[in-house]
Order: sequence, then C-alpha cells, then structure tokens
Amino acid sequence: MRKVIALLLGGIVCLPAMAQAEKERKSPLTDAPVIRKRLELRDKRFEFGVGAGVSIGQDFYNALMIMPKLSYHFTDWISLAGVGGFNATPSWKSSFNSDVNGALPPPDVTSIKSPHAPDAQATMNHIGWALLGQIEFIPLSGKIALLSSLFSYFDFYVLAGGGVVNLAAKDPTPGACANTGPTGPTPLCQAFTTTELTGNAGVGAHAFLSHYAALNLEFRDLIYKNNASGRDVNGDTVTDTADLKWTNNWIFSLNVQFFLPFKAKISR
Amino acid sequence: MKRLALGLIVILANLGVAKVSLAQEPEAAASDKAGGDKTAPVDTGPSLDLDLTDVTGSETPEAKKPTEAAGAPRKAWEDIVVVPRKAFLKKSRVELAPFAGITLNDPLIRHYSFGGDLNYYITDVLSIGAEGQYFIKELSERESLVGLQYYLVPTLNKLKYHYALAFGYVPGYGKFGLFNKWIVHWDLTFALGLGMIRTEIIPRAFGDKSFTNDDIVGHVGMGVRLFVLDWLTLSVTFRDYMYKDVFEYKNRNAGDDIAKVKTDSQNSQSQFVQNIMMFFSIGLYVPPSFSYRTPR
Repeated sequence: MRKVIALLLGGIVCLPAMAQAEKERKSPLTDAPVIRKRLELRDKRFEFGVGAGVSIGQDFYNALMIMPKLSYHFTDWISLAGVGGFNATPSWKSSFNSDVNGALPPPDVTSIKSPHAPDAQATMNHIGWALLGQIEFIPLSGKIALLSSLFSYFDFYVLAGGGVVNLAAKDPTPGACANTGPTGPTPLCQAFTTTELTGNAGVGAHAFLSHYAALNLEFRDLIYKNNASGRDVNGDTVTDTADLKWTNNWIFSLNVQFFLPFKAKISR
Repeated sequence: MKRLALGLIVILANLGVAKVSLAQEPEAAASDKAGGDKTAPVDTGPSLDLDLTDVTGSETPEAKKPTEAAGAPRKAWEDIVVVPRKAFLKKSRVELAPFAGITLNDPLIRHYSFGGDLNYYITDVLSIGAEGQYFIKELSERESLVGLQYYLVPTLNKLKYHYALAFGYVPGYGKFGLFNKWIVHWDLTFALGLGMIRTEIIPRAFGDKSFTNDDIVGHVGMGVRLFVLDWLTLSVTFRDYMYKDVFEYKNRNAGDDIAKVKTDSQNSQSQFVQNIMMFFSIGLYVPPSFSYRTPR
C-alpha cells in the first residue's frame, strides 16, 4: 500500500515538471527566420534615381519617357514611392499610325469620307507626362547566381497606386473637325487633351549592384479613360466625352536607383 | 518505510533533472553577458551556409555588428548551421510544360495561344526540346474603329499554329525568402528556337477567299521559373517570334483567282513581323524525383 502511495505521490509531483520540460523541448528552429545575417537592403532607407521607360502597344504614338523615382522604405517589405514620367519622343509614331497615315489621302486629294492624313494625325493624342504615386509590396527578396560566378541581390515586388496623366496632341481642334450640321456645334472630331486621373498597377524588381545602388525594372499599367484617335467611337457622328473608353497603357521602365543611408543593416 | 524513502528519492531526482533542464537557457545568457561570441555560430561547412554577408565581398565594419543588444538571451536556433543544397535538379530529366500565352504588341489583333514545351535536360542548365502551339484570334476594339473613323479596312493576318525546335539555357539560379519565412528557389531561363508558323490572311472584303503562309520563324525567349515540388514548376516567359509574313495584296480585285492573289501578295506585300508573347506554364518533370550525388 505504501509503495502504491509513494508512486502516486511521485507521479503527481513530477507531472508539472515533466510538462514544463516538454514545453522546453520545442524545435530549436521554431521562430527562426529562414535567412540569417540577411542584408536588409531596403529597411528604413530612401531610394532615388532616374531611368527610361517605354510604352508598349500604344495605338498611335509610342513614348520614350524620362522617369525619375523617389521612394521611402518603411520596412524591408513595404515602401511608398513617387514616380514621374516625361515623354521625350512626342512624335514617335507607332507602325499602325504609319499605316493609317499612308493609306489616308493627302490634303490635295478630294476625299468623300476618309479624313485627310494631316487632319487624322492632328487629333491623335499621346502621353505628355505622368505623375504617379505607388505603394510597393516586396514579398520576395534574395540573391541570384549568374553563370555560377556573379552574385546579385534581388527582390520582386508588386505596386499599386494612382496619379495623373497628361495627354497632348498636335492640333486638338483642326478646322476640318468643325461641325456645321444638325449635330453641331459639338465637333466631328477633336483630340482628347487633358490631365486626368489614372490608376497605376504593376510589378517590379531590384537587382542590386552594391549595397547602395540597384537596377530597378518596372512593368506597369496606367489605366485611364481615353479616346486616342480623337474621333467618333460610339457612332453618334460627333466626338465628345461619351466617346471615352477605359484603356490599358503598358509602360516598361529601367532605372538606376541609389539608396540612403549608403550602409545597409544586417539581420540576426 | 524503506520503500517510501526510495520513492521520495526518485521524486527528488526527477525534480533535479527537470531543474537542470530549465537552467540551461539562463546559463547561455550568462555566457553572453560575459562577452561570449554571438555574432555567428560555428560554421562546420564550407561557404554553403545561408549567411548572405559574404556574397558581395566588401562587408562594412558596421555591418558585422549584431543588431541585437548585448546581453539579450541567445536563441537556440543560432547554433544550427543551415546548409541547403540546390533544391531542384534537372539533369537527365524530361520536362513537359503545357502553357497558355497571349500576344502583346499588336493593337489591332490579339492571339491567345495554347500549347506545350517538351524539353530534355542534357545538363542542369542546358536543354533541347520542341514546342508547339495553336492560336485563337480576337480582333480588338481599335480594329473595329478603323472603319468607322477612317473609312479604311486594315490588312491583317491571323496566326494558326506554330512548332519549333528550341534550345534552353539557365544562366542564373537564385533563391528568395518569402516574408523571411519560406525559401523559394527559382531560375532564369533563356531560349532560342527555329521552326515554322502557319498564318492566314483575313480578307478585307467579306466573302473573298483567303490563303495561308508557312513561314520560317525564329524566336528568342526569357523567363523565370519557380520550383514548387520535386516534379513541378511554374514559369512566366516572354518570347519574341520573328518571321517574314505575306499579307493580302493591296490592289486585289473582286473575283481574282486566289493563286494569283497569293503570287501578287508574295511579290509585293511581304513584311517582317515581330510577335512578342507572354506565356504562363506548368512544368511536369519525369522522373518525378531525383537524388543528390553529394552528401550536402
């Protein structure tokens, strides 16, 4: 009987201590980050630089843009950025523009329905400039080995935000667009030239050349209402705001960016 | 009585063991307070450690300082050396990769593509294979507006199908920390191919007959591949297809024989074309597993 009591007593006293020891026997990797001594190349750093962007798939005018960018990284994985885009090539025609221009009659040829080439050209708009704000979310960061000899730190991010875009044209309201008919005075054609709000969404990546310099690639979609041709879209013979449609405007950019402070922290 | 005493001794011994176990952590902390090295664990392997500080070479003196304040308790995982191996081996494996794609650079006509790649990896970075795809066309809103706005009908070709031999090369291999919780392995892929594409004119006049072209097409590609499982990858690829295509003859008259139209078109209406496409693909590997030939 005494033996049984002694064993029970022993078990009761030992149980909490054993449970405590069990708690302490968790995996040593619990709570450990997957990468230790990691360079935190973005955390609480400013990023600034400039580069070039090019539009893809524009209807009438491609744009080669000068694109300065300024960011602040609140943490290693989230940042706020401001981006500018200034079109350096407002006369760079797309191949479709050239095809249309080549097929339309010149001014000295009588045309019954087709507009003369210069009049058609006059109302085609292009991107003038854009000012954008964006939040960048950086879930992926690491390094890459190129040709098994060159190493670079990399990150990938998604970006979203908004801004304003300026649309410009050579001659927004040419004389040939005047409407003297029953649907007038709303013009038959007029370029859509304005500064309007735009959505801004895309993806990007940094390829670090050193602890304080990086190549920055971005692929973004500017989403805004536009009537790129400046001509009737909905079939009511006049051109007004009812002819505006949501458009996707893809821009690929490559910047050289610098980081401040120059030294990056290293995680535990 | 003796048994009771024995039982109490066992109890006390158990308690003693538990206390020793609990006491180990504070001892480590005490060691830290005494100036123990906690900047890096003992590295038992060569430069394969995940420690990233030595990758770019020039480490600053400040960077070497630990970010943790002196005297903080030392974490148990700091004593673990992580030596990862390359997460995915491709050598001598076959990749079957069904894909879906879309053309990017034509404002008038868009093509959706469905097909697949079949690649054999000669080495871990070099592959040879074949690709095939079938296209479905979609005319854009801009195409429909050309008639309304300019009284013109655009001259367009649609893509039918494409097949090619392709060589693949992997110039870069990397890994990312996803929120610093998971490691994602990926690589950079380049491709170079040569094949045939069949296109067909879309006649400007409704009811006119069409003809097809078989054009030799070269392509270059670049992509990113994420390794998901030992036999599964996900890829995003951009490819630029370049070929000389024949479009419908500008001065075609109603009732012209289609053979004559094709000849006239070949003589006057051929044009160099670039189709930039984006693809999403799923890579399935055979055999589905692989084994390492080195211990670490």
